[in-house]
Amino acid sequence: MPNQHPIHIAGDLASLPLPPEDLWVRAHRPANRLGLVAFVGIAVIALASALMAAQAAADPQGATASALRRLLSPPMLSRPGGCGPSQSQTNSATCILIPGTLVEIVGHDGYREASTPLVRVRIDSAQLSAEFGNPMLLEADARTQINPASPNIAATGVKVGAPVQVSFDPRAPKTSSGAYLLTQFVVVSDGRLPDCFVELDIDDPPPGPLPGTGAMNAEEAFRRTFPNVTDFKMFPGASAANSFAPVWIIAASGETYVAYILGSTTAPNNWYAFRAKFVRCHTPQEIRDRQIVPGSPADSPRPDGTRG
Amino acid sequence: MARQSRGDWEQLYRRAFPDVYRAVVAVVFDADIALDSVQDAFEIGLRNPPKVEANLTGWLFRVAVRRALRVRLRRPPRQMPSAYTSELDRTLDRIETRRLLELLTPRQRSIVVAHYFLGLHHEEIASLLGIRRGTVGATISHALARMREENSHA
Repeated sequence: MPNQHPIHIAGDLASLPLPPEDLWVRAHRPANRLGLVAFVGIAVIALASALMAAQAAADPQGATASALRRLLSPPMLSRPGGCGPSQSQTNSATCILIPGTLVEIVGHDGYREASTPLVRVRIDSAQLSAEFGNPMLLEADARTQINPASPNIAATGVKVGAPVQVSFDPRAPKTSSGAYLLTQFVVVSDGRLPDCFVELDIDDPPPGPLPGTGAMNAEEAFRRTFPNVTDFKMFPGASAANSFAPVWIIAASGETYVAYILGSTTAPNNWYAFRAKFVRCHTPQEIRDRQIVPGSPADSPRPDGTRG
Repeated sequence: MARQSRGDWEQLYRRAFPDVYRAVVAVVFDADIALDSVQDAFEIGLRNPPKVEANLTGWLFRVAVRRALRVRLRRPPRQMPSAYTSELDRTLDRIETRRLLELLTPRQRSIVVAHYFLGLHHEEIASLLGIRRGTVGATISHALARMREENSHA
């Protein structure tokens, strides 16, 4: 029995019409579909591992992938999230991240869009450069794992000259553009947010901030809200040099936070800090297509400096 | 709640749906986002059922509101027939509650709706949202004062 209130909340809301019952549960099942994708992925990985093992057995002198592994010194090897334990155990070349420098996003418009999925990367290793090209031409497809998570490389906001890591399968046929197919493309970061249209999952616990009850600046807001977190780094928003840009904060524990101004940028005590997680970068097209959720935090300035 | 069949969970969910959906609409005022979020809550509950002692309506509401208020840059896909959304919009435009709820922050709306529409006690709301009971009471008092003030000016 709803609690009584003179403003008739219960009565008013009970009069809201309901959608058709067949819509109450989704017709398609994302959870099941995810399960199917995961199952297919595992099957493909298992098949690929078996094929590589068979190829290695037929090529005892060592194939290109083996040469690639030998050329890489141990510190250059890392285990990206996309490579499962079984792949790491096989030392699959597609799981080895190779450090380099971004030379070009082919067809880049100078912003965050590109007309091609091609990139040129100068590999740090002179030996690898000599073998695979200097710079090396690589092509992303829908399966390429991009970090930070983005629909394509241009949308990450990565700039020419930035340090990157790439992985590819040197045995796979080149694409129609004559490029090696990227399995992973990683923008090397010191922890700050990527310079893209970021989507954050911000934990804004109730009752929600009240205007004017915040702090004078980002650090004060963070220290006040999370007094137990004493070891942290702050990264002011990349999009603006002024003091109003949101600030990304990383604790030594790895927890991430964002501090930003709610309400007027000229009024005092409007800085607030929240737990936040980076979700993904969006393309400019996605931004153009977006619509604002009424009353959502998207109505406030976002950490990329844009406003909903 | 122990792991149960999809059918059992769906039956419980459908029983709670009308209240939960209306409550989420009252927080976000958007039929597509409300439906998408409540559908998400159903699927999350299917994978990770709430504890047996949980208030099911409150649990669904909390999960759905959290999804609905997440910063999002894209709308969920349109699922609603336009005749339905038109009818909902007309109803929302007509009721006094909408104008008053819009004076509050989404979090304040969540708490007010949980208490006055879903009938949850302060303790239940505090437990569901992981906040102190006093915070729930203070939030409701503050929200009601704001709504009454506006109502007296109307």
